[in-house]
Parts: sequence; C-alpha cells; structure tokens
Amino acid sequence: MVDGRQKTRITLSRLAEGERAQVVQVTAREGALAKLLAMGILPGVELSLVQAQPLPVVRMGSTTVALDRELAQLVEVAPLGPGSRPGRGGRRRCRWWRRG
Amino acid sequence: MGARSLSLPFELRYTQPLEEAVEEVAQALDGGYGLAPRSIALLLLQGDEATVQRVGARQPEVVRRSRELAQALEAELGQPVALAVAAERYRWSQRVAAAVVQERAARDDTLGERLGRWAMHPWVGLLMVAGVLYALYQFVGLFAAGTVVDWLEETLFENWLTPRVNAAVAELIPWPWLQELFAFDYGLITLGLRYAVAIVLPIVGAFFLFFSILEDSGYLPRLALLLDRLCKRLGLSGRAVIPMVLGVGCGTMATVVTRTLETRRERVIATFLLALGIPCSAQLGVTMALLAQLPWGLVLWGGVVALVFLTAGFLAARLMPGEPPLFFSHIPPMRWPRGKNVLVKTAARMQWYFLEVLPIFLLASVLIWLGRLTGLFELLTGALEPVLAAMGLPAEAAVIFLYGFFRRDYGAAGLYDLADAGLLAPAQLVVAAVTLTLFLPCIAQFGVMWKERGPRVALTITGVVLLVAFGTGWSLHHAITWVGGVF
Repeated sequence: MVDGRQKTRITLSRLAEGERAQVVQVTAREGALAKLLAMGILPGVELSLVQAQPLPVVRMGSTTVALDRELAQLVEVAPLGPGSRPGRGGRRRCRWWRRG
Repeated sequence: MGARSLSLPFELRYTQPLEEAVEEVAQALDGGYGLAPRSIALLLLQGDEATVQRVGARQPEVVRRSRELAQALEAELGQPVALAVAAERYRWSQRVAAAVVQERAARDDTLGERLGRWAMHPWVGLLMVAGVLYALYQFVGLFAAGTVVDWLEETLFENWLTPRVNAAVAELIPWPWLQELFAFDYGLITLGLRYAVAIVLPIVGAFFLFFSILEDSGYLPRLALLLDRLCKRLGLSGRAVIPMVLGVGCGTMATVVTRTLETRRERVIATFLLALGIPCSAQLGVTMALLAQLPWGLVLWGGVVALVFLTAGFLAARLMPGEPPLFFSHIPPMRWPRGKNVLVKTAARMQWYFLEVLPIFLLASVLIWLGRLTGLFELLTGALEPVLAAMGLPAEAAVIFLYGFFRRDYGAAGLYDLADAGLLAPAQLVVAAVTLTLFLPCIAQFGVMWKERGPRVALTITGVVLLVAFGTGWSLHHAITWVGGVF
C-alpha cells in the first residue's frame, strides 16, 4: 500500500526481535490511534524491534518507544529483514539509523 | 526549502480533499476561540473532544458540519482524518529534516545505552528494580525518616519550639479550651505544623530528591514498561507505577500524583489501592518497629497485605466499568542527571507540597480539637470498641485507631504502650498491624481523595477500605485462633 509492492504483512506484535519493518497500515481508531500517532507510528515509517519482552520496544530513527501488545496489534508492518540487534553479539553491520 | 522560508510565518497546506474541508470549517468559525481558525478546524475534523465541546457550546452548527465533512473524508480517503493529517505532517517534516539535518555517526554503545537496555531486560531489569528499591529504603526509610526526623522532632520541636509555644499560649490565652486549638498535644502549631515540618517534610523532601534523580536519569519509563503487565492485571497501566512508588513515601502526595493517569477509571483504581494496600513510610515505620521481635509476624503481615492488595486490584479491574488502559511511552536515553535541574525540581515540588498538603494537616488539628471539645471522639471510640473486640483486640486499641488516623505517631506509640503493658499477645499485634496498614493512612490522604476524586468516590473508597481492613483483621484473628487450636 505504501510503495506499491506486495509484501507479507504482519502485526507489529509479531515482528521478531531485531527485525526491521515498514509500517503499512494503522488499524487503530480514536484513543488508540491518537496514541500511536503521538509516538510517530504511522504508515511509511521504518522501524526496528529492539525487544519483544516484556513489552514491544521499537526504534524509529533516534527515537525509542515502548507500547503494549494491545497497541502493537493495531499496527500492520511489512518486514524488511534483520536489522542490527543492539546489545546482542559483537560487532555488527553499521546501523542504518546512524549512517553519516 | 531553504532557511528563509522556515523563518517566515508558515502554514501547512494539505492535499485535496482535506484542504478544502479545513478551509470550509475555518471560514465558518467566528474566530473567538483563542487559536487560529485553521487549527480549530483541524481539531474539529479529527474529532478532538475538548474542541468539539468548546465550539459546540457556541456554534453547534459548525460541529455538525465538520462531523459530516469528516465522515465524507474518511469514506473518500479510506482512513480516519487524524491519520491523514498526521501522515501529511510527517511527510512535510521529513522533507524539512532531509534539507537541514546533518547526522554524524554516534559513538557505539555507550555506558548509558547499555544501562538503558539492561533496565528494560525482562529479568536483569527486575534485579535493577530491587536495587533501586533498596537504595530508596536506605535513603528515605533509614536516613530521612530515621535520622533527620528524629533530630527535627526531638531537638527542634520537643526540646525547643513546643515548650515555648505551650508556655506562650498558656500565658496569652486564658481559656484552656482555646489554648488547645494552638498548643499542647493536638494544637495547630504543636501538632499540625510539627507533623508537616518535622515528620512529613524530611521524608517527602528526601523522596522528591530521589524521585527527581530517577526521573532525570530516564529510568522511570523503563520501570513502567517492565511492570506494565502486572499493572494491567490490577486495572492499571505501567504509568501507575509512579504514583504507587510515591505512595510508599507519602500516600497523600501519591494520591495527588494520580492526576497524571490517563482515564478516570485508572485514577479511581489507583486512589483506592493507595488508600488500601500501599503502606506509607509512617505506616511502614510503625509496623517494622512493632513486629521487629516477631519475624513470623512480619512475614505474615507482608503476605496478608500483599494478598489483599493484589486481590483488591484484581477485583477492581473486573468490577470497575470502562475501557482497560493502553500503555505507551517514549523511552529516552539514560543520562547522568544534572545536579542543578534535580535541585530546582525538588524545590519546586516541595513548595507545591507545602501549599497543597500543609492546609490539610492544619485542618486535621482543628478537627481533633473540635472532636475532643464536643465529645464526638468519645462516641466514636465507643463505637469502635465492639468492632475491635470482634478482632480479638482490647478496648484500649480503639483510641489508637481513631487518633492514629489523625496522628500516626500517636497510633504507633499507643500500640507500643499496650504491647509493653502486656495487653497485646503476639497474635493480637499482628492483627493490629495488618488492620492499621490496610486502614486509611491518615486524614490528609482522605482530604486529598475528597479534593481530587470528589465526595462520592472518596466516601465509597473509605467505606470499602474500612470494611476490608476490619474484615481482614477479623478473618486473620479467627484464622490464627483456629490454627492455634489445631496445633
């Protein structure tokens, strides 16, 4: 929907830890929608899942936000493959959000 | 898009058909809302409740029209207006950012970043919570509530100010009934002011200082996310962790802080749990001292209070009408707090505390004075006696429960005396400690409940708390007697 290509869509709550994804659709309404928008989670935004437990924590650019599973289920994303997993393992590929 | 265009007054124009709707609503507004008509129009189209109410009171026809437009837009765009507006703003801000922001590669994995991640880790995070609570106990529970309070109470008030005030009042006011309003055991200066300045201020000040440090370090959102799931079971969201932690310092202040919770349902549940199951530092101090010689009693006390707290929260979550809360939070990077910021914040909070809570302490003194003067207190202790007898407690304990509500240290001292005189068996001590912990902490907290949640909620909560406190005491008394009879 965002860039025309057909991709698998999953809800944000099912994204794997460390995986990157692009937000495709926000199915939340009213209060929940306002909260997601306030955090900057809207279609087209790229994010990566920092951790899944105990709550999903996502990183967008240099912003990190936590949201509960109920909210994460209202966000549909298209996975873009593994990103870097902060704090896991030794040296990693350069982080996409930090490339100068 | 250059720097020049950004320095000019700027209006974001939306794409059609959104822009057309914004203009139509903006034109229809008569302009007296203190905001640019376009801003009001956008809020109306997005269904912002406060704006709908404000404009509806003056121009209901505009609200009706904007609702129609919003419905038409939603059908045409296939998404809510709020989402379309946010998407356009996002696209625009991305364009601006791309033109003006330069990014440098940041240092990889600083200590703050690692600490920040550990604080969110499912079990390393919980270890850190334990560490933070221990530090809190050392600083607020032992240092402030112990050392500092002792000094202020004994040196400043008992040895210096109180005798002078008593003497001066006895000299200046000839009527004993009026003397007691200002001085002696329950006077405005010798009780109200002493309570606020010598006991509560140091505890609360230390707590505010600790809290400001935690706040500025970026730790609190991590704590909230870590405990969100537990809180959800109690009908709260992770955000409620903040007033709950504050409640261990002072329940009165914590009840004020429940303002920050999002829904009325959450605020009521948090207020209720603070009144029932979160012992404030004064209650904790009393209990620790009473049960120090009784390790099994301390464990039993902790277990029963925790059980009642969790059960009450669990039931409240199911019985209170309304939507369950949603949790979201920005997670700022962990930072070393700046001393000056922390001090300014602490000072501002203490000032606010004094303005909001001191009057209630003074009011408590006046109420005690009135209660004694009119004989109302004697009636109340008389009414309490049979309730306490049902819990296996002696009649002398009635005075402690009643006065303890106004003056916590009196309750503690009274219980000591009873225990010292051999009037309380170990089992009775545990029953008394559990009941006093669950009992409404103090009149100040009741006052704040009344002020923040209204009389109906405050009285309902008080009723439930009294029922649960005495019910638990009664059950515990009978359970202990039964177990004692069996073994």
